[in-house]
Amino acid sequence: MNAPIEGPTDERLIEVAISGDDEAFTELVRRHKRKVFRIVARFVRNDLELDDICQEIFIKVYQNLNRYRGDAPFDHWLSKIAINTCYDDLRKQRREGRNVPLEDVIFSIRDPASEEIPGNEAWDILKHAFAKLRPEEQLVITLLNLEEKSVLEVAALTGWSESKVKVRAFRARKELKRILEDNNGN
Amino acid sequence: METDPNEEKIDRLFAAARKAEPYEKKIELIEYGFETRLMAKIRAERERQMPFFLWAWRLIPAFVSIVIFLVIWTYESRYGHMTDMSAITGIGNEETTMVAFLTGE
Repeated sequence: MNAPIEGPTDERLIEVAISGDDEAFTELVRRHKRKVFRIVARFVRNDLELDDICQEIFIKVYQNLNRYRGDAPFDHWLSKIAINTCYDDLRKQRREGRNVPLEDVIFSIRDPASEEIPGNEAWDILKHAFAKLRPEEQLVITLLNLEEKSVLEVAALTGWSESKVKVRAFRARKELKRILEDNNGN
Repeated sequence: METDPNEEKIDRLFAAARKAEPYEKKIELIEYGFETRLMAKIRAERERQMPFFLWAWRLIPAFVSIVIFLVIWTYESRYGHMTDMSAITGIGNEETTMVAFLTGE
């Protein structure tokens, strides 16, 4: 749950920032940076990328601040920019072949049902398996299964139709299952 | 209805990964001074775009000087040219000039 915001509203800060007050924009960044960090952390490979992408997101926000219409909360608009920037970065990683090879990680999903998988270990397994997925599959499965967003929310954040989200989620899960099973068989 | 055991395992994997907080420690480090670094980058970007406009303003006196010089030079050369032509046509050609003027040629 978000803490109540003291001082001027986001909309007021945006107005002042557009008129050229850097301090107002700094306050907006201070308020919303944690949310952006947490979104981006699900998609990046290391902390350097995390800092770079977060900066890129806020630069885009700064440059497009006058396009914010105020028909949705500012943090929703910011999340959309963050997710789109992450998606662009995933596509760039794919083009440049920067994906982490799955072979470097040893894991097993043949654990007994009662055995608890440690959170960080599970995250490492998924992170390496995700590297084999297509960017859109990676994005949709992260938002649906890790961030626990609904299909409707994912559609709103990505700009895809609901049916497209469902199809991509189905394919992503099928592909993820195949990757994990293949790795298990090795 | 029997469920696919691998599906269950994937669900367990997701449930466990949700508890993980990737880069949580790094986030705390990156968070420190983030606004300062970001604003410095934004200002640098803004200044990088400024020189074109600044130079355009700074070059105005130079452009004005060139325009004044060209106007004076054009005026002078045209005036000088006309004087020369009238001098050339005037010397020894007074009769021809008069005939041409009267016949409208």
